Amino acid sequence: MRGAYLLCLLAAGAGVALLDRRWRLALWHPRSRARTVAVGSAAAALLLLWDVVAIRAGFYGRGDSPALLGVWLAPHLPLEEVVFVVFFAYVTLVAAGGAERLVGGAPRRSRRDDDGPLTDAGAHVPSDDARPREVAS
Amino acid sequence: MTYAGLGVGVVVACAAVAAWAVATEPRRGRRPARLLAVLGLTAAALCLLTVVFDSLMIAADLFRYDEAALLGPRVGRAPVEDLAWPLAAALALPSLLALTTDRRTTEARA
Repeated sequence: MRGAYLLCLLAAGAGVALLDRRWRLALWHPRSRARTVAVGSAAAALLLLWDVVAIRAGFYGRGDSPALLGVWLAPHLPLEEVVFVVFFAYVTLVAAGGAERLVGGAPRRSRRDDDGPLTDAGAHVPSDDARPREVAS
Repeated sequence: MTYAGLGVGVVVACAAVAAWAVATEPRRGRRPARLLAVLGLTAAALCLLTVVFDSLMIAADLFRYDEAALLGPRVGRAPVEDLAWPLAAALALPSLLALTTDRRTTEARA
């Protein structure tokens, strides 16, 4: 189906956003959202540049999938690719947030023990209420 | 320049950023080992996702490679060179977040 790839990307992005919001991993992380957006945008721009360099060098190019929308921003560069690099950067930020949570690196309720054992409140994948809900975002 | 060469260049640049971030973590009041663990876990997760979804995207014929420009080995359907994407992103993004988040910032918002 024409446009199915774009729909898949958007649906996957929405799913990742739900995970993000539920566990406060990237855009919903307690740190400044502007910083997350800045890092993610810079990464997406560099990924797109990488893509364009690879396409211009002829390493890869368009396929013949009926799932493509058929909107081309440049030869071999479909509109979907821009959505993809943003999605890729976002998934990376969310995965990094999850990894940070797993190793106990999230902001903790008890500080002063930055070098202490990873057994305090922030050190586990949180259950529903393991992180304070009243944190402003 | 080959596709592999381009990927290796980007990954090396990102690894340099990561090394800098890890080495300077104590200045921001955190242990370097913690950021290293974050980088490793993020890379593992992204590489797994890449192998699965890159393979699906290739199978769907969303894009095609110049076979002559590839090294040859594939993971699933994904050329090994494509793993440069998740590696570079997993090295650079958590490192940039760490470099721009000092302890004071964290405490102020925690």
